[in-house]
Amino acid sequence: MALLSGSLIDVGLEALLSLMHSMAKSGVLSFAWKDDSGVSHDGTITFYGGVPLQAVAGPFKGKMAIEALATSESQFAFASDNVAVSDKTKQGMDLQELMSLAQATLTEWNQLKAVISSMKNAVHWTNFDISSVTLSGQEFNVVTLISKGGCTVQDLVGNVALPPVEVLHIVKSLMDKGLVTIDTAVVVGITNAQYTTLMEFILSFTGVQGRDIFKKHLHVGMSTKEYAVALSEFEEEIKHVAGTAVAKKLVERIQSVIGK
Amino acid sequence: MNKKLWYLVAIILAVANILMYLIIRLPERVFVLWDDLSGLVSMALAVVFLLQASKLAGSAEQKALRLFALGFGGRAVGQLLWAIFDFSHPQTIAPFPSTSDIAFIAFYVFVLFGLFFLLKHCLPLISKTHWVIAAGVLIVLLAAASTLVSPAMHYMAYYEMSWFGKLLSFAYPFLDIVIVALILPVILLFAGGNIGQSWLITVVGFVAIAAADTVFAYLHLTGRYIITANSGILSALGGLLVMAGSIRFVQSHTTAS
Repeated sequence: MALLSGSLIDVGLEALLSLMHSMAKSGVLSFAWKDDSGVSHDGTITFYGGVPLQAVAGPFKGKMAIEALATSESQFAFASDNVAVSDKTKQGMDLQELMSLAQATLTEWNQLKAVISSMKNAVHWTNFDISSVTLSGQEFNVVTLISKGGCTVQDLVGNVALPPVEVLHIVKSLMDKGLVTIDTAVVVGITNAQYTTLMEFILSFTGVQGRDIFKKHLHVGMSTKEYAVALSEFEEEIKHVAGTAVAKKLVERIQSVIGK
Repeated sequence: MNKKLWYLVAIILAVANILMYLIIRLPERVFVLWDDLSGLVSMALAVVFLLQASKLAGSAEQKALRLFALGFGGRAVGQLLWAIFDFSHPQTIAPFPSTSDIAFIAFYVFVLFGLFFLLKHCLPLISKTHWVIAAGVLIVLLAAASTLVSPAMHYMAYYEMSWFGKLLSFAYPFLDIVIVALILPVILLFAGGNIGQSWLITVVGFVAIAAADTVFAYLHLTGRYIITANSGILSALGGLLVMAGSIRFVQSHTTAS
């Protein structure tokens, strides 16, 4: 049974860490949240006598996990448990450092969100001459992903091994350097993986021509307005290839994925 | 692939078949030669173009079309074995059943497996109405084939044929009709589109093959089969229609119209 539960929307991670320290309990604090694409994530912070020993959030561990958790708006629950410690792990992580990091991350996140309002915003490459600016390795990786085609900020998070706040920081930095722009219109919530799955589904019924029609009309990072027009254009064109019944079913399938 | 050229080839071969089977009075030996070769060529062309079509299809359709191609390959082998017998035994009717029937049975096995994969893939999209229509057509076709073949039952008692021959005589048209009925939901699903047209042309080919098998069964069961029986035209036209359906399939997957 959980001794403590709630939401990080109501209690910030910094306050939660402080509370756990004052309770001086041993156990596991579990987190669960969904990103803007509806994909579920989870994480844990293990405590021994109120001292955080280890933090994990998806692929991230330690400080990166704290960064990911701080901005996650997740539900949390603490369960008291016997935590096995060794002399090496007993010292734990620096609580003050983690609390400062959690607070700093949240502050930076809020500042970045004032510029990049939604993770569903599309990021576009400006075709700016890349040779005239200096890029870090991570910035270069992100620019490469953006230049491959339309994608959302959420897609970038899914493709680079960095917490969301770091990705937003890089995107903001690239915006300042004039390499990328943000489309502030609300975009359709479709990930690259969902797009690929839909494309394969359409290919399986209508062959390469149907796939090309799909690619011609729909892509990741479209605004809701663009999407509504594009979907009806797609239906009209695919009808000539696969007939009315299949066109209707394909549109239903696309809507069921995008509408999630 | 020059689609227009291959459509023209199919039309020329169809016209040539109509002339040779129905209009020109060919000497018996020449007729038998034409009968064997036209059947073989049309089935071989069906194989080639089904394989061409499979290259552009999605994975499930690709599997189905390749199995269809294997089936028509079996039919081509059956025709070849018949041709070899006719060359080596002039003026003799090929025995029925014979070794070539193994190849003809393979046709049904492969095509039915192909249809299984095709329908399994299309199942989420096929509506109940499509299934009801297909079931209705199956009943009508079975009734029509039974009406045509049932008079032969009367003669069966007088005509000497092995039980396996009798079984095959009924099985071939029955399986042809099952194939036609099973393709119908796919045609109805894609109706109104270019892919639907390709399946429609293909199913007309299967109907022609079903008609050829029904006539063949009737003639054999009644002991009326002769070496110059022109039921082969239906089979040859069936193969050419499947070829045309496959060309349309390629067309529908590569060009917008």
